[in-house]
Amino acid sequence: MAKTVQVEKQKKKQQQQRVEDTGEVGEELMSGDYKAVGEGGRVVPTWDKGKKRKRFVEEEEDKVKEEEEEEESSELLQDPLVVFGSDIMLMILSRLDARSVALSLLVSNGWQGVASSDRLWSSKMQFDTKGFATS
Amino acid sequence: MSSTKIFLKSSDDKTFEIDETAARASETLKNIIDGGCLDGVIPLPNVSSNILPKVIEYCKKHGGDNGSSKKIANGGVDKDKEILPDYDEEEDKREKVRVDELKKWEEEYMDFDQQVLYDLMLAANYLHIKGLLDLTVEKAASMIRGRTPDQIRENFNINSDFTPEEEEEMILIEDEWDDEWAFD
Repeated sequence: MAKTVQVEKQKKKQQQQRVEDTGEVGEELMSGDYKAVGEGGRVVPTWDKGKKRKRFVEEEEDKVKEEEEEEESSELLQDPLVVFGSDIMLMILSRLDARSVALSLLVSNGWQGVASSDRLWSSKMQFDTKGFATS
Repeated sequence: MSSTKIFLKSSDDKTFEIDETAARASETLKNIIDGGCLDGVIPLPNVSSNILPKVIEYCKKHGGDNGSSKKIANGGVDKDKEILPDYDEEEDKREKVRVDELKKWEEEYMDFDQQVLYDLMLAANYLHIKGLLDLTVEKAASMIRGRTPDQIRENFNINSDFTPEEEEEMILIEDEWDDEWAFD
């Protein structure tokens, strides 16, 4: 499993290298076209072409970078509050002991909003009076 | 027990087969089946093909059973049973073995990457599979339980959006609570 990940990463590196290489080629072409501008003639379209090509190369580079970022972030979880909304977040928090919920108040503004909900705490209080709080 | 086959289509247009009895573990699917609007394939635009087999695996294991998750929550003992006059000790033992086996299965079933957890939780919520939602929610809760706010932020990749002043205040509160709860 780890091996395939490594191979993939290597492939990506090579891909990026290739894009960087073509990026240089693209710039060379562009400067070449600039000379053509100085000499006059049907230069605008070719210059445009070069520009487009440059843009294309940049886009490709961005794509590779984005892919790499995605790959990194896919290993990290996002904020469950953002992904699931407050209803499921309440379900998650309602399974916690009072202390853990209290500490959740200090995570972020969004978490504070959910973790301070009366609905959540009223059930926690009931739990405590029934003596299940130690579980 | 009917063994009618139901076909589910994932968001990326892949079709999966599931027994009707298993599909009934999902409240959403059950309603579609009972509603009689079953037209060959049920499209599930919110569930992708890499998570649907996992959902089906759960339904297969839990389809047709009722309340076993409740029994697990009660520590493997069905409390209602004890007050029944025809309480059968042997039956209860067999039930316990079954619940233990199910617990073990769930442990193995829930052993996956964190990213899968989110997808599975969303699918369970969308399909109204209560047992699966409970399992996934509990797993998420276990990533918060007993952690400091910093650890929670790290676990879920959350950026604190408090102002520096608020941040300082939070740290003070946390320290205060630490002292207060020290006897726990």
